Amino acid sequence: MSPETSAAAGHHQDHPALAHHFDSLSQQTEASMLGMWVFLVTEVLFFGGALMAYSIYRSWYPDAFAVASHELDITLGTINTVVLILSSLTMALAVHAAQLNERGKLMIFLAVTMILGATFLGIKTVEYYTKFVEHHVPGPSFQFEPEYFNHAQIFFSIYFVLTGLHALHMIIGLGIMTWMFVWVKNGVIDKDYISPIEISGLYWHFVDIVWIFLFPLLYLIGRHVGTH
Amino acid sequence: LTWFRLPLFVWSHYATSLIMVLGTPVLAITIVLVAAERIFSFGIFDPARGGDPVLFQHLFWFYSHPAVYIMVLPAMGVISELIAAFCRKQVFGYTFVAFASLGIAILGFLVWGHHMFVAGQSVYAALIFSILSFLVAIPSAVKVFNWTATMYKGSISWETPMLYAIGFIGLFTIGGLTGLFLAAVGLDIHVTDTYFIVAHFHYIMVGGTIMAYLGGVHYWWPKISGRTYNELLAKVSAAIIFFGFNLTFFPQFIVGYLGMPRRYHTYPPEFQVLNVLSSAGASILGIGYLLPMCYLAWSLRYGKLAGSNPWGAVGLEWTTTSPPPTENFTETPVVTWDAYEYPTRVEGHVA
Repeated sequence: MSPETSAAAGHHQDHPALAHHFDSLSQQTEASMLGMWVFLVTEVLFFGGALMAYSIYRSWYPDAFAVASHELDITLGTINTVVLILSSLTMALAVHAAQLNERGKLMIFLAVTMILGATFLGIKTVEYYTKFVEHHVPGPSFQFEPEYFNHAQIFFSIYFVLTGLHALHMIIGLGIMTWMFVWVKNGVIDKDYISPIEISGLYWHFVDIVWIFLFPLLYLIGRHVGTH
Repeated sequence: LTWFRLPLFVWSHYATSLIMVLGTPVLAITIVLVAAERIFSFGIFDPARGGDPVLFQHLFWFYSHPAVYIMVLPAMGVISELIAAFCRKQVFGYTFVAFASLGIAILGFLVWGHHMFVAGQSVYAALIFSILSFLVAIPSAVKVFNWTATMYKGSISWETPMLYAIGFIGLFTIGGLTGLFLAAVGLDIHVTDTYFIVAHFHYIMVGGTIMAYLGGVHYWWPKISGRTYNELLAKVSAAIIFFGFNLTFFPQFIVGYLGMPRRYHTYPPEFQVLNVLSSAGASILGIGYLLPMCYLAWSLRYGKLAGSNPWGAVGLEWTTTSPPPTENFTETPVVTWDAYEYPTRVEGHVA
């Protein structure tokens, strides 16, 4: 199909990572980058559905949402936000190190990214635990001020769905980072083949950006001066 | 090979892929939300806790309306292939047909509310969804007109795939026109949840989509299996399916318009004749579907060898052997001609 089939027979042809259906590594990188972007588009629509439900109910029940939001731990939430932004920085530095072919630095930055990701999940676990203890998990054991009992349940339902899906993405991200770490260690990643690091980085940044939306939407309702 | 040398089948799949990429994740999150409600007793759509079941319907139809285009768009792509191959003609208005697929894909995302005219949405929402639903008729009609224009003064041969293609055009047109009835809010309220809907849906999904795919199976069967099937039996089956289909579903338009609701096991005695006709048609349709299974299975072992291009069609698939080797081509082909360039001057297309 491609007119440059024979022209692509460069030195990349023999690279072990080159899949048989691509002409060159750069073509392969382009295809896999596009693939990750398309996947991220599907993720936007995936979270978008739940955010749609959030928007509707928040506009219907603004008071209940504000009261329920105040039950979340804003200190832990803020720390987690900082942790994730830092992990995005170390991820960007990891990609940079990969581009400069600095293998040692690349492994260090991947490891730091993983540690920060795990820290986020640890703090999230503490928050979830508190919610269980306080009976703020929706369902038969839910307890709340009678005035907001029903609508606060909707808030916490959406809170657990959104943060739960986000945490699931973080766990998958940690798996991917472990995989990349092993690949760097084994020498699968080299100066001609860094696209797996770049693509994993795209995924990691996306998961961080989701949190950047979730944090204000869930933790900061009605916290600005003068309302509460 | 460039974008505008692609077969229209590929264009239709491009449009279908867009719908799948953009629509399916919304179904996924909807299922996650319902699962959270059912399994963990979360309150999201539960009206007892202030949740809104209509929100579920919105999220559901945001995917599930485009989903019908996932089914029908590739079928339209098949029809473009069949019409060109059996009329020995360039598809009339190739670029219009290609972009009509994209138009249907895009508009298909903006019409989901027409499933909810009686579900309690605002009159203004119903009005807008109604207008947008009418708009889908434009790219659909572009395709139908271009297929018939392709047939005009074409050198038509009446092999089995072409019979299915012509059947498709007729039945899809009926399904599409009754779709316009349903896009009109006033009429839709009258026939909501009646057999009229069932009939409309089946004219698109069975009369349209399944006829097209059966045509596609008969067209590409020699390529897939390397064997030809019994042409006479195939033509008879196509006729039986066409007759059986219409006998099954046309009475449902009438009985639905007269007010018979769907999803009930029983009906008033005055609807009996139409219901019996429908049941009889379904039996005939069943025979029509069984026959191809038999003669196609038979052909796998006893059919004549097909050769690489039994129809004398253009299209890359007909330049390779039947069935194609692993990876289809020994060398990546270079395409310098249009998708439906008849008469062919491509080596390998000439029998």
